[in-house]
Amino acid sequence: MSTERARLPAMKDRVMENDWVQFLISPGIGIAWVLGLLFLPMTIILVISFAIPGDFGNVIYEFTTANYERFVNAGVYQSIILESLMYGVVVTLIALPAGYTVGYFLGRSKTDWKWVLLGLVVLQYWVPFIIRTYAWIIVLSNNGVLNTLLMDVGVIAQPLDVMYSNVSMILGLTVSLLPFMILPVYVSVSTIEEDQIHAAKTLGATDFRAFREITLPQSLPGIVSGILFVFIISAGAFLAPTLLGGPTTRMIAPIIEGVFINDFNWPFAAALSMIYFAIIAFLLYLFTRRVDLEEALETGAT
Amino acid sequence: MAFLELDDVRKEFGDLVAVDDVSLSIEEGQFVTIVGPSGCGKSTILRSITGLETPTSGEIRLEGNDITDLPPYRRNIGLVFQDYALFPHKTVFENVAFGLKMRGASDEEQRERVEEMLRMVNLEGYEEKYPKECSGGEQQRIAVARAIAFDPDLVLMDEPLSNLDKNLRTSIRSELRRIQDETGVTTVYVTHNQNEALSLGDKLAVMNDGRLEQYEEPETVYREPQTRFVADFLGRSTELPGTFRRRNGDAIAELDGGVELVVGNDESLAEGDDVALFLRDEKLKLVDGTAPTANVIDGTIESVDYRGRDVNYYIHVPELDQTLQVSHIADNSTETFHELGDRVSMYVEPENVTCLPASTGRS
Amino acid sequence: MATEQDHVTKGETDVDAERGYFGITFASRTKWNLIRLVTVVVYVLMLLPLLVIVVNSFNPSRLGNFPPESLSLRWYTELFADELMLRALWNSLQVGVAAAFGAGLIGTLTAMGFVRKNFRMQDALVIVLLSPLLVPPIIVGVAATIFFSQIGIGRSLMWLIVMHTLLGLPYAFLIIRSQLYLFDETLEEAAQTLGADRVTTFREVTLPLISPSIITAMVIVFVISFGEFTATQFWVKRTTTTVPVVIFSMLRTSISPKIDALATVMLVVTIAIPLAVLGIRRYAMPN
Ligand SMILES: Nc1ncnc2c1ncn2[C@@H]1O[C@H](COP(=O)(O)OP(=O)(O)OP(=O)(O)O)[C@@H](O)[C@H]1O
Ligand SMILES: [Mg+2]
Repeated sequence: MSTERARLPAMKDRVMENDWVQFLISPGIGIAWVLGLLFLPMTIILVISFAIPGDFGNVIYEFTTANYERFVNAGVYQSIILESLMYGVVVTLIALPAGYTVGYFLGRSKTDWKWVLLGLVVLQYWVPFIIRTYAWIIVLSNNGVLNTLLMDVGVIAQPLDVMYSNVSMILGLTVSLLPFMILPVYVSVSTIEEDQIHAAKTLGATDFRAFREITLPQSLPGIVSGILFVFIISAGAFLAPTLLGGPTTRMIAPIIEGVFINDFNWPFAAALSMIYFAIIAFLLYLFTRRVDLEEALETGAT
Repeated sequence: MAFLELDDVRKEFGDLVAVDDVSLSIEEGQFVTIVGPSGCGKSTILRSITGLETPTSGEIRLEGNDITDLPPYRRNIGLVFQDYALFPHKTVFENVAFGLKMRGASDEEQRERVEEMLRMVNLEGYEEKYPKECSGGEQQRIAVARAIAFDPDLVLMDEPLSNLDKNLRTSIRSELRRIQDETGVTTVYVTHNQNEALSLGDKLAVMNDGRLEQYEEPETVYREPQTRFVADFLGRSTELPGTFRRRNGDAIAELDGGVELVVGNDESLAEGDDVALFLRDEKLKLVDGTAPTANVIDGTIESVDYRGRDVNYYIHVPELDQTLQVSHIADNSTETFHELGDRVSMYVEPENVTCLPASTGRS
Repeated sequence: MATEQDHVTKGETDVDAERGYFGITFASRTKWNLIRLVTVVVYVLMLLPLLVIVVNSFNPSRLGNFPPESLSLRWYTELFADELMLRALWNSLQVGVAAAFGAGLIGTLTAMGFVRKNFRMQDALVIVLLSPLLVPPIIVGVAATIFFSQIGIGRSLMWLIVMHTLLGLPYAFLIIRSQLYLFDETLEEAAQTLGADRVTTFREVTLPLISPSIITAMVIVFVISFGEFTATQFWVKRTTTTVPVVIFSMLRTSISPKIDALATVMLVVTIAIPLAVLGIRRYAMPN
């Protein structure tokens, strides 16, 4: 080993061993990606939400609070946001027991079919939303599969008018989002040792007590993660209200899209986005006071 | 100029001082052992020498060159990890050849050298196996082969035998010594096992709490410990508090219970100093027939521990309020065994009593 | 009467395990059957509509009566003669694969940084990194569109790739990070003491050992990218359109069984490609 080498580490070494260089590559690049492509754009639409709309998506950079005033004065947007959140709650409330039951079944059952059933949920999870949503159109519409079959059999004379309504929208959305509930619940239920439940029962607990005292608390991380994903995705859903909803179905995502694309009113679309985002962020904030957000996301995403 | 020099090396982790201004020099070809209790900073020193850790202050020099800030891959130092750290996705051949490959050795050179290394550690024919197909002892030897294969200036081993069972440990230990003799590579060996510490190295460094307590030949360290910590840590001994006296040219320790022992003369001690005496178990002898004139201690046998070849007596000494342990080689033909409750006398040669100022190195 | 032990060991389901408890046997069984029923209903709801699409795509009739009276490939022939659709399929594949590689690479580097290094605000930065999961896609779509138009960047496949990488990044990060937590860092240290610099260490040691999770992550990112619609609808132009956008606009105009054919193709791609990749992974990396 020569003296020079010791005194003057190669330029490459000096660069690679520099703490800042290392930080910028790992993890800096990912942080930069999110900051540059999400936080920066969000900041820009925050700015634009205080600007004046021009023609054809142009923005006139002059400070105004008109976009927010319009939101406050025209009560319709407030009720749309409220309704979106309500749909989110409804879908979550249906998906929770249904998804929990299936997740519990998969976690507890010992049939040989279990892996197939589990695989089907994962596959379902992979199927694009647009296809899962579209499927309900063919099934439920007036000349769709359900009505055709029922009329052929003679159960009904007139087609059931379920398509293009809140019912079809909620149904489609819920079924689409079930995997988000099933998989994390399955993961947390399957890690509970069955001996614990047997032990509780030998100690005199009823089925229900054993479930409440042992299974439920330990599957809480799965539930929390499921609720988080199902609620956020359903409240902000675009496809289901657009394709399956009826005349009275109003949700925020299609409204923002309409303002943005049809009205070409970018500042107002930006304002609506910011308001909706602020509400979601606030709900998340309430959420994080009780549970670990990172853990919930990790449970749901892996 | 020594081959490897540590100059006031210090490493802090936040408030914790893992290595506390250690200076150490190692000559080329030496086998140096570092011993000390868990958490005393042994691994941190090794990691600083390899460059996996950068010292907070101080300097490390190899052949006179300051290597303190050099990244590990620019040093030429092999490290054997405690859990071996063999690459699980590479074959034994690829593991051992890794250092050579990094240095641009040709396929031919790699093959020759790996073959030579595997022969040296008695693992011929293992080239195509994967580490998980090898036993713990085999993995250990692969790790050694890998750390030596690229002809490093220095090989460091961090408790390389601690994951092996006792028999394997003994046999691989002697093998390591043989390998070191064969290759002549300068070696630093970390352990917290006393036997390894005393038997393995040319020199022994004893560490405690980040500090270097003593650094000498193993025998010297054992016979003439310089701090209370070292005296207590190596071998089994009993510590007794007392006061130093000089009488008729003899150095005498007056123990707190009234017993007096003549000790080896030590110029550094003065009349009236508080001292700590260390009596090594194996240096205490039972008085058998002719009694020596000095350094006799009387006591009662409290328990007896037969161990086949030798017998351990636990002897209670009321004056000292201590139980001393005496190992006695049982010679069946002549010996009379002592029974529980027998009163016996023991003695110790003055040069075998370690007498240290009470204030040095806490134990 | 068999002992309790027998039931526990033989038990095929929870029900069997409980058969020995008098009094609650019947109740447990009913409950379990109820759970089974719900499960069956959920599976029917999840899978049957998809099955209908697949079957219908082979139905030559324009009205799509169910069940079909005969089968044909008519709609597939039409589909593969339609340049726009082929183009969309090709675009979707390109974007999906590129985003998978992008998010795989960036996700790996980022996860390594978070697992290996200590830096200030680490917890907050994790949330930043995961935020694409939290911001509703409609907002991501609008924000990115406004942003790119304000800085004067026109729509292109690159735009899609960059944004789909963003959407997949949190998934890639989480999946790869969970394997890195299990990774033994001393292996990297060993490589370094043997003379491998950081890049070589990564290539020779880290990458091969964490590649299973990177591959899984890339598959998930591909699936997400391939199906993403809500944000993507704002980002495409005619030449860079993707399959979901095409399906959506077809649905707006008329409902034709050609959609079923396209949806079936998409279904096959989105399931077959991941399964194939994961299968190859399992075969090539037995552990
Ligand atoms: N990366 C680190 N961060 C914080 N503290 C550390 C770090 N590495 C070591 N320490 C601390 O430094 C001290 C010395 O550790 P070191 O590993 O050198 O001890 P050791 O002598 O090798 O112990 P053992 O025999 O158990 O291996 C310990 O108290 C340890 O907790
Ligand atoms: Mg150690």
